[in-house]
Order: sequence, then C-alpha cells, then structure tokens
Amino acid sequence: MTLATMEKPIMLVLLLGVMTSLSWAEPMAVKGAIRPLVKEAECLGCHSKTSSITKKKGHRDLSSKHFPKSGTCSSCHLPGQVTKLRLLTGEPISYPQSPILCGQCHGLVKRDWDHGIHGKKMGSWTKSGEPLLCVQCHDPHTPKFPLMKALPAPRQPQLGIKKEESYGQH
Amino acid sequence: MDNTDKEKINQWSERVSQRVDKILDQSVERRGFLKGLLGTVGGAAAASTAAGAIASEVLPESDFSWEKFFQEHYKVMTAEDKEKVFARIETETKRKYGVDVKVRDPQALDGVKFAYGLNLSKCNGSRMCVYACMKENNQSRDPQIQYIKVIEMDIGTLNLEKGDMYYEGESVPKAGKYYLPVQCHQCDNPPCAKVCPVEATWKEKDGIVVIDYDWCIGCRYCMAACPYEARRFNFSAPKVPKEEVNPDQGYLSNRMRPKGVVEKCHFCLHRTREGKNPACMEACPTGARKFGNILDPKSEVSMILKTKRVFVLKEELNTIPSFFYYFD
Ligand code: HEC
Ligand code: HEC
Ligand code: HEC
Ligand code: HEC
Repeated sequence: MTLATMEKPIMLVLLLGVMTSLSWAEPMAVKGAIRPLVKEAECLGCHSKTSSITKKKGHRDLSSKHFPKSGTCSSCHLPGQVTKLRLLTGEPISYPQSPILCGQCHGLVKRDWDHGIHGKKMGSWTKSGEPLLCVQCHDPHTPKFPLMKALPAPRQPQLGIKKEESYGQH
Repeated sequence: MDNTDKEKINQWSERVSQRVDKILDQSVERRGFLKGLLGTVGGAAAASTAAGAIASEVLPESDFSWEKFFQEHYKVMTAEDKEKVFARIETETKRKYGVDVKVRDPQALDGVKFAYGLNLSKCNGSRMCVYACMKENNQSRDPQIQYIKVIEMDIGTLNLEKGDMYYEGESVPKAGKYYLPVQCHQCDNPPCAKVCPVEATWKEKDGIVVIDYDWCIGCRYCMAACPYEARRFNFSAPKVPKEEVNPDQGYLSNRMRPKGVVEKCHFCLHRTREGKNPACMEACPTGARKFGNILDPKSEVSMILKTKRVFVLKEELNTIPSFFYYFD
C-alpha cells in the first residue's frame, strides 16, 4: 500500500460523506432513559403530611397496572402518609428505600441488583459507583421497561457486514 | 513559500512512501527506517528545524510535522519527551479545531485487568452507547467513524453474517430480534498487535490494546487481522465540530487523530484508568453493559463469570477476548 494508492478510497469516502450528510439528523432525545425520582415537596401541594387530600384534581392515570389483581395503591404506599412507602408487613419505608419493597416479590432480581448485575451503577466501575434504583428504570405503576427509539444507523458502510449483503439475505 | 519548496516536500513524501513500501516488505523496525532516512537527508538536527519551518508554513493544514516524524517510539520516551509531545498535540489541536484541549496519559492501574460483559437479554438496540462513544472519543463525524456496531439478530441465531447493523427502529427492541453490540475485544492474544510491522499497537498490562497514532503508518494490516472488524481507518482527516470536541484527551485514546491512521475502542482508558465508567456503559439505558476488574473476585464482571453462562465470539480462533457475552 503506498500513500498514492490511498487517494482513491479517500475520494470515494468524501463523496459518500457529502451525499449522506444530507440525510443526517442529530440524535433525538430518547424516551426511556433514567426516570426522575419522587420529590416529596411535590406531593405536599395537594396532600397534607397527615393524609387528607387537599385538592380534587389528581394524577395522571395511575390505575396501577402492576399486579392489578391484588394490588391497590396502599399495597405500596403508606395510607395516610404520602411521603412514605410501606412493605407488605406494614412497616413504613422512605422513597429511597424502594428497592426493598420491590425485592419482596422480585427476590432474585433484587439479589442480582445488590451485586450490581441487574440494573447499573453510574459514574464508576469501582465500589464508589452509584446504583440506579429500580424505579429509575421501571415506572413502579407500569413496570415494563419502555420501548425506545433507536438512534440512527451508521451512515456509511463500515468494514464488516455490507449493507447490500445484509439486506439481500432478509 | 514558493512552489519549489512545495515541490521539494512532494518529492520528499513520494520518497517516504516508497521507503515505507520497502520497509513493509522487509518488515524492518520503523526506527531503523528513520535512521536510514536521516542518512539520506543528511545533517539531522539543523535540517530538521529548518525543514520544520518549511513544513508548517507550506502545509498549514497538514498533519505533517518534523517533530512527530522524528519522535521516539512511545514506549521508550521519557516523561519529558512525552510532555513535549502532549504540548505539540495540544497546539496542533488548537490550530486545527480551535479548541483548548488537555492531553494526558493515564497509566494502567496495579492489580487491575479489565473485562467487559454484555447481557444480550437486556440490550435493547437503542444505540445510545454508539453515540456516547462517538462523542467521548472525538470520532470523525464526517466521514463517520463509530467504534461500536450493534447487530440486529433473529432470536435463536448466532450467525453474525446474517445480522443487520443498519436497522432503524421507532421502538426497539423489535419482536423476534435481539441486539449484539461489537467493539474491540481487547484480546489477550491479539492478532492485530502481532501483525503490526512497526509496533504501533500493543497490549498494556491492564489488558487494553492501544494504538500510538503518531507511530501508525496506516498499512491496515491490523484491520485485516482483526476477526471482529473492530478497527477503523481515517481515510481523511477526522471532522469534529469545534463545540463537540471533548477536551479531556488521552494520548493513547481519544486525542484527535491525524488522517491515515487506524483507531478503535480502548475501553475509554482516559476514564477507566481513573475509576470512571467507559462512556458506552455510562450511557446504556438498560444496564446490559458491565465493566470492571477481573482480578477482583467481588467485581460485577467476576460475579457474572461465576454465576451466568457466558461466551465469547469466535472462541475457536484463540484470540482470548476480554469482552464476553451472556444471557440471563
Ligand atoms: C395535583 C395535586 C396532587 C399532587 C401534586 C399529588 N397528588 Fe396524590 N392524589 C391527588 C388526588 C386528588 C388523589 C385522590 C384521587 C386520585 O387518585 O386521583 C391522590 C391520590 C394519591 C394516592 C392514592 C391514595 C389512596 O389512598 O388511594 C397516592 C398514593 C398519592 N396520591 C401519592 C402521591 C405522591 C407520592 C405525590 C407526590 C409525588 C402526589 N400524590 C402528588 C392529588 C395530588
Ligand atoms: C408496586 C408498588 C406500587 C403500587 C401498587 C403503587 N405505587 Fe405509586 N409508587 C411506588 C413507588 C416505589 C414510588 C416511588 C418512585 C420513586 O421513588 O421515584 C411511587 C410513586 C408514586 C407517585 C409519584 C411519582 C409518579 O410516578 O407520579 C404517585 C403519584 C403514586 N406513586 C401514586 C400511586 C397511586 C395513585 C397508586 C394506585 C393507583 C399507586 N401509586 C400504586 C410504588 C407503587
Ligand atoms: C407485591 C408483589 C410485588 C411488588 C412489591 C413488586 N412487584 Fe413487580 N411484579 C409483581 C408481579 C406479580 C408481576 C407480574 C405481573 C404480570 O405478569 O402482569 C410483576 C412484574 C414486574 C415487572 C415485569 C413487567 C413486565 O411486564 O415485564 C417488573 C419490571 C417489575 N415487576 C418491577 C417491580 C419494581 C421496580 C417494583 C418496586 C417498585 C416491584 N416490581 C414491586 C409483583 C410485585
Ligand atoms: C438500568 C435500568 C434497570 C434497573 C436499575 C433495574 N432494572 Fe429491572 N430490568 C431492566 C431491563 C432493561 C429489563 C429487561 C426488560 C425486558 O426484557 O423487557 C429489566 C427486567 C426486569 C424484570 C422482569 C424480567 C426479569 O429479568 O425477571 C423485573 C421483575 C425487574 N427488572 C425488576 C427490577 C427490580 C426489582 C429492580 C431493582 C432492584 C430493577 N429491576 C432495576 C432495567 C433495569
């Protein structure tokens, strides 16, 4: 391979680049990335600390699709105390402790999560990595992990499987 | 500068390319080649500074620099040599991209050997990793270079050739499909490093296979040798918009590459050697990507190796990848 013989592929790639850049769109913001956690203050606008709902207008539709047969809101939310969750034993826990709540019924997943195998840790691969809570990936009320939009396909045939080939075989 | 100077440079580069061909045929070390060249050109130091001035005036946009050409192999450079090289790269990057960057060279950590696990039951094919990698590692936007390719496969099959890496999807994962991301496997027995005629690519003690872009001559033997097609070639100078340049740069990782060199995934060594997650893993929405120290029995990758059924791609080639896959 000489420097001179490299010129042709360069031209080709430049040409391809010009042609394909027309169809290039910036990556879109993707649905299904990390969910925000509950901020207690947001609840207290309508709920008082000691239960009674002070405003009429409620939530987005939150009929829990999570184990609908037996579950009601108060299977997980401490009745009368909007800033607390409850375990099946009735014991109150705070929002950041919610993985314990989930672990009552999803023991194996919770064990994997404890070891960093299910879910993920942010920031660092060392012990100082911060695990995401279950509810940052799963909406506790409709827990199925959401479908997402895929970011755009590669724009140019890269070495490897050629576009024509892979389409041809379908 | 007038045309005769330009011509001189042209003649010179012609000569270099002929020499490179010869060298490749003989498979001689590049340093020997440099000595030979010094003999031909004659009058080393003085000539090189004068010529340096020519080069920078005549070829303001070129990747060529005499300092770079006479640079020692990275592994034998002293700390001061390296500092000079980093400063040169910072200046060049400022000139070409108009951005102030910092080039560093984080060293492999003691007692750390990196491994990467990918959970194929979780990966949803969103390509978040692909674009996070592109940003972190200053990959050329046009022509486009991406280190990670995600292959869409039919559930129940494992024939990479039948997969589609050009799928689009409004809602992934699609029914009946699974997604298999491939990037450099940082093999313990790396065929790419073995075939490099100038030792521009080698394996570090934490397992990462690195490339010295100043040393790479662009022969692309390594690309042919890699069974995972993990290496990419810069056919032209990489284009990255100024405001998208990541200024935190590693010499052996994400610093700006010149035209005509090979690049690939390096486990984000400028991040991971300082304890951070690789960019692809940080961006993964599903938690399918697991990275860590295989020498630590309590690390996630060690736990996965113990508790899940894992496999590597093309095991029969005995490349011994540090990148494995599993289903749960
Ligand atoms: C806009 C006012 C408003 C806000 C803000 C609000 N709620 Fe409510 N909430 C209601 C109303 C009204 C109801 C009862 C009717 C309904 O279900 O919509 C309710 C019902 C509930 C229930 C069911 C209670 C039961 O016993 O059936 C729970 C649990 C709850 N809210 C939790 C929260 C939490 C947690 C927050 C904070 C993140 C919050 N709410 C914020 C208005 C609000
Ligand atoms: C499976 C247990 C579970 C059930 C059942 C459940 N929730 Fe929740 N809910 C949670 C958890 C856990 C959180 C806290 C999420 C967090 O920490 O961000 C939460 C948060 C909320 C919030 C605030 C955040 C949001 O998603 O809007 C509201 C409001 C809420 N729940 C209302 C309800 C209502 C109303 C019901 C009954 C229809 C209900 N929940 C049933 C577990 C549950
Ligand atoms: C009281 C028991 C119970 C608790 C507590 C509970 N779950 Fe579940 N979960 C279930 C059951 C039962 C199903 C299966 C429901 C079905 O198949 O429709 C399920 C299903 C799921 C699924 C799979 C949904 C799907 O369609 O694939 C996820 C994810 C999940 N739960 C997450 C959570 C999280 C996160 C929490 C804590 C906020 C939690 N669960 C708390 C009982 C529970
Ligand atoms: C990083 C995001 C993330 C976190 C954090 C996370 N999960 Fe998941 N979880 C997933 C994904 C992705 C799937 C696979 C979804 C699918 O197959 O549709 C999944 C699947 C599940 C399932 C159903 C299938 C299975 O594997 O059994 C359950 C139940 C579940 N998760 C519970 C939990 C619980 C409980 C926690 C916290 C202890 C948790 N998850 C934390 C991403 C996450």
